[in-house]
Amino acid sequence: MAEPPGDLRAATDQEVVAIARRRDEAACRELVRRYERPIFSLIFRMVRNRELAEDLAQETFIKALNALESYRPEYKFSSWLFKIANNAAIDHLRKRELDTLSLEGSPHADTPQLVEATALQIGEKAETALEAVEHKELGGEIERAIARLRPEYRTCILLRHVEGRAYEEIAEILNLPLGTVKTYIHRARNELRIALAHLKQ
Amino acid sequence: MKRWPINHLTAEDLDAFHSASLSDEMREHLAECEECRTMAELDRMVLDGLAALPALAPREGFADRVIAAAHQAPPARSPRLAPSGRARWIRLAAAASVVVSLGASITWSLLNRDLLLSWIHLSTAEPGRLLWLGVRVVATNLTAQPWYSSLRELVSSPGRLVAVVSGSLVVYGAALAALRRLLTPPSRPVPHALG
Repeated sequence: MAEPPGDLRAATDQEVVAIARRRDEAACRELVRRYERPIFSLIFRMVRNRELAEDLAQETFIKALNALESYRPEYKFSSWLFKIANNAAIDHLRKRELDTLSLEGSPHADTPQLVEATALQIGEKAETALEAVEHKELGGEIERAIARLRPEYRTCILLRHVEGRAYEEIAEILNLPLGTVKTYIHRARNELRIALAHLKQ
Repeated sequence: MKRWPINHLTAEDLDAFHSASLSDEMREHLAECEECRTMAELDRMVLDGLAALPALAPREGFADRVIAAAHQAPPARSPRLAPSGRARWIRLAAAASVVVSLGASITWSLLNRDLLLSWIHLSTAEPGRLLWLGVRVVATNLTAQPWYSSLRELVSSPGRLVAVVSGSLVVYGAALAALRRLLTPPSRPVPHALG
């Protein structure tokens, strides 16, 4: 991927969006570069299939880049993008039910290549082999527990505690009342506590 | 001042615990209550685990694929194209037929005013008559029921009427509360449901 100019890297989202609206390729690339990981991570943890997540992430960015004219700069660009991504994931989940997470690969993968391609990568932040094992254990348990949450709880908990979004921003992204968002997050945390209680013991 | 009865940690208290802004009262409670302490520690572990989840990356070349596809995708709002010659004639013919039908309809209405008025009268009077007949049938049926006199007796005075209405509202409210409780997912694991 070509490196964007230094001034684009230093620019705010709103400034990059203003340039991207003029169909400037470097600015469009910069927006993708900034958000490809968070958007892909959110969608992947929602649909739990790497190839599908990549298709939906691509669809999200294409929609966003082609609709930049309709984006209102008084809102955060990231909120708008997460909203498009969440809609794409939820639309997909409504059409098709995927209910099992496999750290070893998608349950729908039927060849060794697909299994490898759809396997969930955990432990990138670990520094030592021991930490890697511990992270993989806790991370794997959490991924599994998240996968068992209701989709609306899953989106809320991921946006709040993985992406670090404020309650108000999540309410805006999901078009939900603030109280509902807080309830969903606390119920999700409650379910995760129950699911991970055995690790504490 | 201590809260009474003892309140365990709420969701807001948990958030306060993580941001080290828990009230003194709840901190005291936390020191004494093992159940809340375990919950707070577990919650901390969950939040740490969530925060440590790695940001996953799509395959190499993702941005290139997005940019290439975005260039190929049709713009969100495509400009309206001018209609072709044949489409223009079809539209003109459709518009002309609407105008001719409208003119014919107005002319016929003016020439047959009396007939039209009689139709309008018939169409408005008949449904009203049928509705009134229906109301009378229902009312007659109701008053002929054996329990009608006791019901009338029950609500004959304003005091009784108020009592009956209040009682009904209380029963309705209790039923709603019970239904809500039944539909709320359990906040703790149900031992006999764990298998």
